Amino acid sequence: MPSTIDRTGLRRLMDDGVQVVELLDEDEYRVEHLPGAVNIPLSRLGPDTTSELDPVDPVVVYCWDGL
Amino acid sequence: MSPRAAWRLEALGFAEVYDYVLGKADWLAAGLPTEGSGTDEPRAIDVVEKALTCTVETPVSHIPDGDPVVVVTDGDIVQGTVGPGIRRAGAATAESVMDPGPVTVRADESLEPLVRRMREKHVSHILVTTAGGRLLGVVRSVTHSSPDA
Repeated sequence: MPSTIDRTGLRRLMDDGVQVVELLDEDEYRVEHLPGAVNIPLSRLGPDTTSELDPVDPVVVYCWDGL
Repeated sequence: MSPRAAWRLEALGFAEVYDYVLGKADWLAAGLPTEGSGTDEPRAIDVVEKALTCTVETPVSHIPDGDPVVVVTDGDIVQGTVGPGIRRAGAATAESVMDPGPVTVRADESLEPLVRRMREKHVSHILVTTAGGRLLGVVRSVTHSSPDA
């Protein structure tokens, strides 16, 4: 079951090089995203688009504000 | 939509998945660094100022006159605003005199066109909120002029 994480927890994981995925559309990602985040729009999330992520290491997903 | 994505990743075999529920709006609101092509462009969140707040139960007589006061819930969700010049007599509460539909903008709104629109409409303050309605603060048009204003 996925866990939720707050900003403090995310920053701690980022210090260890966590994988971060922005789920918003490309245009929104291009303008601004969290440091080191990759872009996989939710509509395209699947085996092909996630193949470059390491399934063993932690991964954090985010969108605009959860709505 | 991030919860759906988190579940989807687990179904795809990812062992340790976290959902940063408050998302990019929360990150920007904290003023943390970002990357991308638009990060040099000033946005509402860059100049947002702390807003005076009260609750719906606050007696009008306790609300300071002057700047607009934002009526919020315990969780800082915007309920309305009480503008300057409201009659401050009697036992009325903020709820009875507030404007329940103040205009709000998001934290990533580009500052220059925002200030231009505010000036065109003679708006001195505008609320900045998350998409969920949580108050982040106010932008004042008088202190943030656009170059061609």
